[in-house]
Amino acid sequence: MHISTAEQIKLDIKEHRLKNGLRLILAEDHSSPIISFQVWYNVGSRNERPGITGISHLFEHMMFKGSKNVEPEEHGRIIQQNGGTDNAFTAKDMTAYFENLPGSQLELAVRLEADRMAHLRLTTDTLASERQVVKEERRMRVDNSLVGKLSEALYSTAFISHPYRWPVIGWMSDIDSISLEDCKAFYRSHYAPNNATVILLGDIDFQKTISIVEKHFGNIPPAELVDEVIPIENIQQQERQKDLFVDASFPWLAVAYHIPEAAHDDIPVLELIGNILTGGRSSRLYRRVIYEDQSALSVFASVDNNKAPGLFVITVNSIKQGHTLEEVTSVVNESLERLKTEMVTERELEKAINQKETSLVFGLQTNFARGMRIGFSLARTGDPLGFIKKLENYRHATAEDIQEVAKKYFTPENRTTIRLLPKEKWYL
Amino acid sequence: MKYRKSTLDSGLRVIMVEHHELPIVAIELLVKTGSVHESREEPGLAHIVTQLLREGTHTKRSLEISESIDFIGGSLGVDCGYDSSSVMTTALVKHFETILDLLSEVARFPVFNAKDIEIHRDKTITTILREKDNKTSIAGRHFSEMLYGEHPYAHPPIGTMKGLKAISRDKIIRFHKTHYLPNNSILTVVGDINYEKTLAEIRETFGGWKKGTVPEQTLLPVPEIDGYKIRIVNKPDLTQTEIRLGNMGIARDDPDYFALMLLNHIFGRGPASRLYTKVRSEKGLTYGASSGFATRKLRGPFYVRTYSKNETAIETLLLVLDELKKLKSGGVTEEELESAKSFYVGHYPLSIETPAQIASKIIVQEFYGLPENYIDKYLDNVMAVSMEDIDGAIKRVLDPENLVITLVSKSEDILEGAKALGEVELKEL
Repeated sequence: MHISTAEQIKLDIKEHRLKNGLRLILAEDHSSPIISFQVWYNVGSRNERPGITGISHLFEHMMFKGSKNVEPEEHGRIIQQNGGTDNAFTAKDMTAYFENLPGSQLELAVRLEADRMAHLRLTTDTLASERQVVKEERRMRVDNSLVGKLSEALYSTAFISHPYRWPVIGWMSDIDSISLEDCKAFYRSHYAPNNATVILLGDIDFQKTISIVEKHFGNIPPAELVDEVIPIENIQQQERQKDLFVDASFPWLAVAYHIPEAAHDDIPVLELIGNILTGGRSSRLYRRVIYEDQSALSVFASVDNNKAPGLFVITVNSIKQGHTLEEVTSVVNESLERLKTEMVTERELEKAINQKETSLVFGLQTNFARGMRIGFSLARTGDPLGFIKKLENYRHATAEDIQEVAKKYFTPENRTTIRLLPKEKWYL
Repeated sequence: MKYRKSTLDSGLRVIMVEHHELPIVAIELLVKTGSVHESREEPGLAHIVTQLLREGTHTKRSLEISESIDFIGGSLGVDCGYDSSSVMTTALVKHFETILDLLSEVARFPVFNAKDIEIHRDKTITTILREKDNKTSIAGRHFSEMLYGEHPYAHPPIGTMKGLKAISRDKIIRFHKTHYLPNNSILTVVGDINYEKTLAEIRETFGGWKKGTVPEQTLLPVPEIDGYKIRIVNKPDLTQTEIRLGNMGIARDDPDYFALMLLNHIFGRGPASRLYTKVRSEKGLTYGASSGFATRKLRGPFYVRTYSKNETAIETLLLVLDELKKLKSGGVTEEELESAKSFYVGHYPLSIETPAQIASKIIVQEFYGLPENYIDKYLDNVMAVSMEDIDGAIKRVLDPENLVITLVSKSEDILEGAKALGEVELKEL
């Protein structure tokens, strides 16, 4: 039945490793004279500890504050002058820096990234100013945002010992107390060629590219990587719930279950469940909540793909007047119960698979997007092309698998429910 | 850049971009009617019409429409802007006929059931109420209202509570009938297609769509601002103040478009800009500071957006005002202009990497009635901008003495500071 679209997708990657441990993943595409250059560091908030939560992200900001041959903020300016754009992001499992630019400027991007991997300038002044910027970012993303508050409450309730319990941006008090020494130590232990992967896509020549990367990164000494002991999350034994009273017009709800790490075989099945529940307007929960009950503005299931075990989350946004949180909570819980007692139909399963396949193909349109997929896949599962291979897992999933997986994870004792409750109807 | 244009007998403009890298296709039908074409009594009419398109047609119920698009893993969406409305669909190219038919069906034959109208009226009203939980949305709505007064650009296309309550089924049906016409629309198909075959399929699917009379649309002129017009919207739980300020900018077909695009790049776009450098990099007052020209059919706003904790919000505002004044009096340097040009020239291939990006450039040219050679001349136009052009554009468009300033905050934290700038209007949510 399935015509294999995946087989039409050409994503040939080539790999190389420098002597200092720097890994290179290259994909040539000569359809346009442009490239995406990305440096992925194998460090994120999962490598932090209480007291310095948020350091990976604050440190990412410091990477723009100048290195031996580059003035503070000059990195972005040079890239722009040459027609490129650049940015970076920090997540739970990784930190990535990227430049999208004309192919002719490859060496420029390589030189700039190598300079800050090897010779970052870390000063009291730039740290003081960037600390304020990051605090404003936290105020914007978390303290003054319902989405941010909900997510922070969810992860800090569902996780007790694993670092996923704090937000990537960190606790405000920790952002305040991270010292220059903390930053220097963090730089020494995590920013090294043997803890990074260069992903380079677009209008490049394999051999020439390797020699350019070798020229600029080749002399950077590897770091002695220590085996970090990251606390393991114990299996949740009983249901957890937390209510947050906030200034909001409508209540919100998040219902979450612990699920395994990205490389686990159950993840593709859980993703299909996510689609069956909320993928498109014909999906089960969308139809029920938005059309039949008309009880909320949106409902969405998300499935964490993390290096360590994460969460399956159903979020219901803005529960309308005349409806209650209890009513919506039982609708969500019943939809999960139903997966355990009744098989999903062949058509529903096929629809979910088709959705996964299409979204994969649409996600490959730019060099940058392809690089992102490769980088995430590598950081989370160890396999740069795992996201394409996953298509086979989707295709082989059966209605029985869905039922088994639902039974395994959607249990009351594995559940965490977070509710945002309006303090008062202040908008009236 | 490879593309084809064609016009059907019905007046429907067709744009096709052939791109074979991936087996995908995207189709958009743009109708040249948006919220600006609503009467004053019914803000939200154009928007609710778009929302209702996919809720059922003469031959397909709402659920059937959703089921058929979801099953193939495709997408079907609608959008309503100030000047135009769109129906967009995407899928793997093997489903091209299915999505072309669906798009034609929902755009041309919606039934507008009374029940669906009520569902969407309620949903839209709830969405507008929810804006009050988000300082960015609050700032956006108040800023537009202060800048545009009675003009339809004064509210976002989603409309107003009052307007939504007033919309009747008859008005919805009439609005659709009057504006959704082939000679008022542009159909764009991009992706893994073949021109001749695609055009033939479009002719077959849209062949029966009859030309109509597109109503003469006289649009209200936009108002003038005199001095500082300051408003604080009080949201007592905020610890960070949302700052939005600006004045009337330009329409998309303005002759100074390229000069102002470069000027804005220098002033407030990206990490090398003056605003970012001053407010974020040097002072650490914010995470984001940017400016822009929202260019539309008529003059859209020139705006600056930033935010800072309440304690430093006024300091941040003063810094932005100071940068604007410096720009007005001192202009830009040749070095800044050259650097902005080299960004646009170098960046050009990155801005046409996907067929959708290519199509959006062609749609802009068509929709705003820009010269046929607009795309071919794009980089020439960038390179041709002189220091004199920039000075002239600054003189004509930037007006730092006459501005709308919107602050969303816990008012008691910033009221005194704001008053030093002039009269302040205090609004509760």
